[in-house]
Amino acid sequence: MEGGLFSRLMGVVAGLVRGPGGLMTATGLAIITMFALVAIAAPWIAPYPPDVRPPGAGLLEPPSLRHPFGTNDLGYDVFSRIVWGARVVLKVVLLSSLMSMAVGVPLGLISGYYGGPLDRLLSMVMDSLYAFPGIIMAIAVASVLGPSTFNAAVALMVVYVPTYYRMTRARVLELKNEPFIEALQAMGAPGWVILVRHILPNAAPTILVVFGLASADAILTEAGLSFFGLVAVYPQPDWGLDLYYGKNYLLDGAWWLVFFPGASILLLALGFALLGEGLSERFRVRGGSYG
Amino acid sequence: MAETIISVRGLKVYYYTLSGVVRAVDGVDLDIARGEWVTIVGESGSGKSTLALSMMGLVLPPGRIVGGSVLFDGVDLTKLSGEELRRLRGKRIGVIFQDPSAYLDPLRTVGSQIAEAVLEHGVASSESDAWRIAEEALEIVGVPASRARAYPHQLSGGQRQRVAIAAAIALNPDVLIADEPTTALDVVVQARIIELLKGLQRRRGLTIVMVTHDIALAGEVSDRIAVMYSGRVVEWGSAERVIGSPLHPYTRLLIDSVPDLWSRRKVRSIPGEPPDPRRPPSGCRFHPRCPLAVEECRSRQPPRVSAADGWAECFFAGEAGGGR
Amino acid sequence: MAGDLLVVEDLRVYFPLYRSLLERLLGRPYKIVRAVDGVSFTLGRREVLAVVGESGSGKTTLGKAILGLVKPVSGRILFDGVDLARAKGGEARRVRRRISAVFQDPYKSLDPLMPVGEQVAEPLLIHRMAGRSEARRMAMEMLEKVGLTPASEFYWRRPHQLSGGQRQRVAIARALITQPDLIVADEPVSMIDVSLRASILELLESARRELGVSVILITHDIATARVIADTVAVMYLGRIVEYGPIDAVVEDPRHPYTAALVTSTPSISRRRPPRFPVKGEIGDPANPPPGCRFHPRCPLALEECRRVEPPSASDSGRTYWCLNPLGPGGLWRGVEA
Repeated sequence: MEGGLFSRLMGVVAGLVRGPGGLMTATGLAIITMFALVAIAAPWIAPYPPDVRPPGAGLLEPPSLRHPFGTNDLGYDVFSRIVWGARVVLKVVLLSSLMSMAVGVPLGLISGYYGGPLDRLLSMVMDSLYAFPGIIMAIAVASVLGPSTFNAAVALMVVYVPTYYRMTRARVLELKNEPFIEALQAMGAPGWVILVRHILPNAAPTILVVFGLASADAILTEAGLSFFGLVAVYPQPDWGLDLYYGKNYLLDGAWWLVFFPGASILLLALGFALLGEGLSERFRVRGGSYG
Repeated sequence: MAETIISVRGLKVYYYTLSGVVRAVDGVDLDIARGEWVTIVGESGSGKSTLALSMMGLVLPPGRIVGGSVLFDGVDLTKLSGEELRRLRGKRIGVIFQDPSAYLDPLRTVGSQIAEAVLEHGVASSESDAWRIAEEALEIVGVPASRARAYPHQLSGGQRQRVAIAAAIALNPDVLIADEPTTALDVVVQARIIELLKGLQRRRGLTIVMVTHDIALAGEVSDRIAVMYSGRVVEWGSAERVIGSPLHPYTRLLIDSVPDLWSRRKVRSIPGEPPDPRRPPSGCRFHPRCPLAVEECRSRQPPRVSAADGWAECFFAGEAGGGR
Repeated sequence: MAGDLLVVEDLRVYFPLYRSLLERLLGRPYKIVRAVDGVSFTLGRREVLAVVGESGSGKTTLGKAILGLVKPVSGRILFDGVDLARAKGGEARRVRRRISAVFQDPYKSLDPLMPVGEQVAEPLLIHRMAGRSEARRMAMEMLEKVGLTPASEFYWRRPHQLSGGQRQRVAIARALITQPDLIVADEPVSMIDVSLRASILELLESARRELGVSVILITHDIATARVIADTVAVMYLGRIVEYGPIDAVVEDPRHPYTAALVTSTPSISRRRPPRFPVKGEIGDPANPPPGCRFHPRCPLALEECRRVEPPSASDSGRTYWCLNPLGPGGLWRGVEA
């Protein structure tokens, strides 16, 4: 009630970081926050432009003080490319996660609460989407739409909507049997009031957990898409793309072209995965009482 | 007075939980005589189950006996090893709980479960002997011996509780601890299970320690009653006297708060709420809810005031009691 | 009758039982649970009716049918002349808001995340009976009325910050705020601390006294029922077996099951009848015995009780369904087992 939005948010975060799974949540949040800050502040952090050869920079220079992550085959600074590339991956993954949530959660709520033929139809569609290997489907969708960050986000959305749908629906089915929902039905509350005011808030922890875990997965899928040039076009800075071109020089000993983009992808994915795991421990474990 | 079989002295059982120390049992003394039926009455959180189960050395983590002793037939249970306790339990002290399905294995026939316990404790030497004892025990509790081959789910709730009783008495123990044995059952079935237990007490000289929140039930079946409040036994005496002329204000108000089918008196709740066992009130723990409380009740643990057949922990026990 | 608030006529609620895959493949028919199987009664204004029975008697299903939470397969539920089993749309909503519910488990019948005051105000918003600020003010008043003072403080508490008794007060405040004509209370005190139960019953009683509400009190404990009920309906396996003024039914029952119920209930009173002996346990509602459903357990059963469904009979204000009832005062004379 009192206090600004920011201080309330910090209060929620403090609550999540304490208690079970808190260390995982905190580590995950720290990693994600670090990458987010890097992406936001890219113009100030990156020492050079990502797609211009700085004066005096050699080709395939190993990491040094001037170029902490080395330079690539065109003499571009790899560190600057990683910093700018964080923007691309975060934009694609957050956009796709929000879109998946925006589609999957309402469908899951409606499907789970009302049941009936619509539920059966939706479940069937979602299950068949879910059964498809994610990366292959994302590649198929992205190839049809053409390379762009937005199209990549749409492709990822198609992959992750079923995850949000299934988890939300399962939670609704649990909540639907709770006496407090029955109490609301008895007082004649319309379905949308029950769904929006009561079921959604109680399902929110589950949705947050899915957000963490699905986003972690989405980062790896996104890397796959960009590896195949379906997110950005060279020389735009993009981790997956750099991985693709970098692999050609691996035999020449230029390990830094592969290592830094690859490590960034894994670290960011790890951040989201830790967030998801931490939250799931936090919300599943509730203290009992004795007496 | 008959020989004492269980003697509890200054017993303290605390649970060490994340949210604080729960003083479930906080200084209890009781002597239970062989062959009598003692009922521990209290509300949820009063520590009644903890007290009863600690009489067989059963304290589940995060609970610990932090003080006092429990003498069973002269042996201090708090000093026994886990293995020694295990041998004593079942053999000399049986137990039944509110929900018998919780400890009957759903995948094995009830007869084989009883027979196994009989064998394990060395009461029978062969499997056929054990099976015979199991069937006899079932017959004693009113379950036809043919049902020994039934699985728990094939029995009704009342029958399952009978099977649990059969399992407890098959080893011919001296004492049966019954933790809310009829709470999950309907009253008509409850009445018959209680009759069964009463019969076992009378015919076999079984000592019964029952836990319940139902003071009317306690009054009907027990020889003596211990009334618990917030970790302490606040009143102790013969069932007739405790119900008929309670000494402790809590006992009196509790009786007045319970609807009674046959005496059409007005019921009145006890004001306030039962205390949080993590933060029991100072002095007499009932003082925040007690109409008789004076300054002294806040600061000092009241003495045990003796009556003809027991006592109450109240400064006013003498005066408050008789007036009912 | 013109003055009756609620008339239930020959109500039947059946549920299909789950069939295993094997049973489905073999084409076995659904087993039907006849939870409520031909129940009729009337409830007057300001009347408190207790529906008493053991688990499996159908008492909870009866309450849910009146609340519209389960659909009857046949029969009528006339509330102020409107058939609840058939009313639709606006008419159904207008009638529904005049019926409130209080459930057994105060830990689970409130939304764990929402401030309790908001939950008390919610029915007003749902039925558009007040604006947001007006609803809040009325909810504060209602919290005050059910004894949760200071209301301005309790309003913002979450359910986990309240005790069981306090939560049940919140549930009752929520039930009363729409000024209903009928409250269906299903075991409202069975999960409350023993020493606090009377105050919850007193709240229901004062709702009747001060607001003129009728109450259907569903309970397994006939002693609790006797505290506030005027009338009692004793249910057994989906049927009412005896119905009438509660004093008459308790003190001088006609049906052997009522006799068993009242004599099995623990009491500290010295003046009480001997235990009425019955055998066995309540049967399976999916497979009730033929004839009188109580006959397998009844010490008074006649040969024809196995075949004939007993018709209703009346005796000084009470109605019962039994071929071999106890006579007046029979309860106190006792029966040989």
